[in-house]
Amino acid sequence: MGKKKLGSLVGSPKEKASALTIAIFIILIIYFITLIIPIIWAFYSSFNDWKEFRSFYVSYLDFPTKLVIDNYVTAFTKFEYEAYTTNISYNFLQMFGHSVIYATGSAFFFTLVPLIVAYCSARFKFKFSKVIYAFVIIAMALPIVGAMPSEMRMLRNLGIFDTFFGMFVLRMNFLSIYYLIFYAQFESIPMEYTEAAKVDGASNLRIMFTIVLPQALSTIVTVFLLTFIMYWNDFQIPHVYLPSYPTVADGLYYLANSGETAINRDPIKIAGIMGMTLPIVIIFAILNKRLRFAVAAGGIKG
Amino acid sequence: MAFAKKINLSGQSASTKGDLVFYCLMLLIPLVQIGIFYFGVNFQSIMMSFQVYSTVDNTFTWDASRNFNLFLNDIKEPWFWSMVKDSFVVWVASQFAGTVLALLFSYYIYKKRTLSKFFKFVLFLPSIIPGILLSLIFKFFMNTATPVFMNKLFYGGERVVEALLQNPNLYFWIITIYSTWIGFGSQVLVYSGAMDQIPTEMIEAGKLDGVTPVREFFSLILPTVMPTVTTFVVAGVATIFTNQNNLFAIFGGNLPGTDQTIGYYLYTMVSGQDSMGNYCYASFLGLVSTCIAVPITFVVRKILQRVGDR
Repeated sequence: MGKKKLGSLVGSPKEKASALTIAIFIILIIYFITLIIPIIWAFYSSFNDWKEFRSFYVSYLDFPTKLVIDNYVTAFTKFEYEAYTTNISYNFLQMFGHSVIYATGSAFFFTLVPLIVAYCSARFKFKFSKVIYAFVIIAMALPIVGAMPSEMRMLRNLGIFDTFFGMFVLRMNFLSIYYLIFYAQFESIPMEYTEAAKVDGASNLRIMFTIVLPQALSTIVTVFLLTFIMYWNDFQIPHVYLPSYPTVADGLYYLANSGETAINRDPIKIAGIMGMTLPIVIIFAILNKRLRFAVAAGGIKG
Repeated sequence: MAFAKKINLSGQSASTKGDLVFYCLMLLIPLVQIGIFYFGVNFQSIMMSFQVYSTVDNTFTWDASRNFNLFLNDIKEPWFWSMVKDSFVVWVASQFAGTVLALLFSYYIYKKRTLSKFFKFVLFLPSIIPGILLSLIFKFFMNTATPVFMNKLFYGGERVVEALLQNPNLYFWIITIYSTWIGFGSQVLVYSGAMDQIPTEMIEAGKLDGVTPVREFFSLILPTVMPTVTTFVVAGVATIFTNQNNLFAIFGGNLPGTDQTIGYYLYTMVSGQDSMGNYCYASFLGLVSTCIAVPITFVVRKILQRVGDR
């Protein structure tokens, strides 16, 4: 494609394309191709007949001659992971249940606690509120590395290591960007609302739940969804902190590295990996726009 | 009410007893949590750096020199410095190559060029799809499909090409490029959002003065979003010591020392069965890493602020 033709393609209604935007467009196309090709390959390979899959090495690139749903059935019925701490085996549904509990509980507390602290420090002009705000800024700027062993020891000492409750206690933490987002939101709501409600005799709790929080509902829901996805995708923390309750993300790791005979075929493993991700893809498809807004507002940890 | 006086020096709207009681009750649990899991954990982490764990009687005892001696032994080993080098390579790749790409892509989206909405969606995908899923698909793809493709492309189907992630000379670089490539999607959304805040009058004035798109990018757009870029890059300094570069997801815990990053090393030390014996040495390495990360953070912030001022 000549530069002129590409230039008119990449241009906007208002401006002609420059060499810079043409170059970026080409890189973006390469980005898209490199991202999507492995996913498409994995999707169609998950329907490949594993008996044929390894017969000729060339078949690794071929489309399946017939769609084999059995790979999905095998992955979800035969795959089990035995927790080394309890020797209890978990199937996909149980791991799904662990993920729901872990992600929902963690997202709930990781949203609720910054929300409460931000509410208090933004709406009550005590001097201590300024201390909290300054502390969050300083703590977020300080790069502390390697606290994981101490954190696990603390959880063990408290008797809540390897429990969902322990994980939720760990998530009751307001040292996050979400505190700052909620703080900005609550500070922007006029104090006149609160003062008028007080004149009418409303309690602080009532003012919080019926007057101020409803005005921040959209932000609260967005932060909850964002943190839910973050914890649903979280693999490293549950792997270490919750060894007795493997989650779906943890299960993906074990599935991919499993040497169990019944599932030790690439198409079956790929089918399991694709299937386990389905819930998050559905959530993403429904909430795409809201989540993109949330990321733009507060960033996300991958 | 001495406490009330102490915390209510500003004397504004929070003057009633009811407000104070509500304020204290609401903050009680969050502050106790921070007391235990921020101050307590970090203080204990420093203490653990000078302790050893006995697997015989499951106790921690003081030993000021053991972890330091282990560290001295480690730094004499070539694998240790290879690990440090790899960690900095991953950091430079993710922070600098990733930031440059994120800024360029953000500029394209900001200018609302062809398919910009579609690319915004594509760039956002890696932030939502589980990292473990992308890493595993990438692993299978590189180890099975890519050798077949290379064989067809370069050798006419006559040779068996080695799986790329099993080639010790290649896999670290392949994974570093992959991790950088999928790692900056959320930055694009934030940067393009920051670019949207630039007054259109400023851009229009630049056009009237005849500035080229390249000049517009470097002289008008970049200085405006520089504070946002600085925040991202400064926050990324700690990743020198925490970034696993997707190595654990792809290789599990069995990677040779020469191909590890510090983040991977620290993580594998404390994960898995019977890892408590490593807690103290991992804490010591964490303390050393923090002591290095803090000044680097301030230097990087200072440099970026100077660049922004110019």
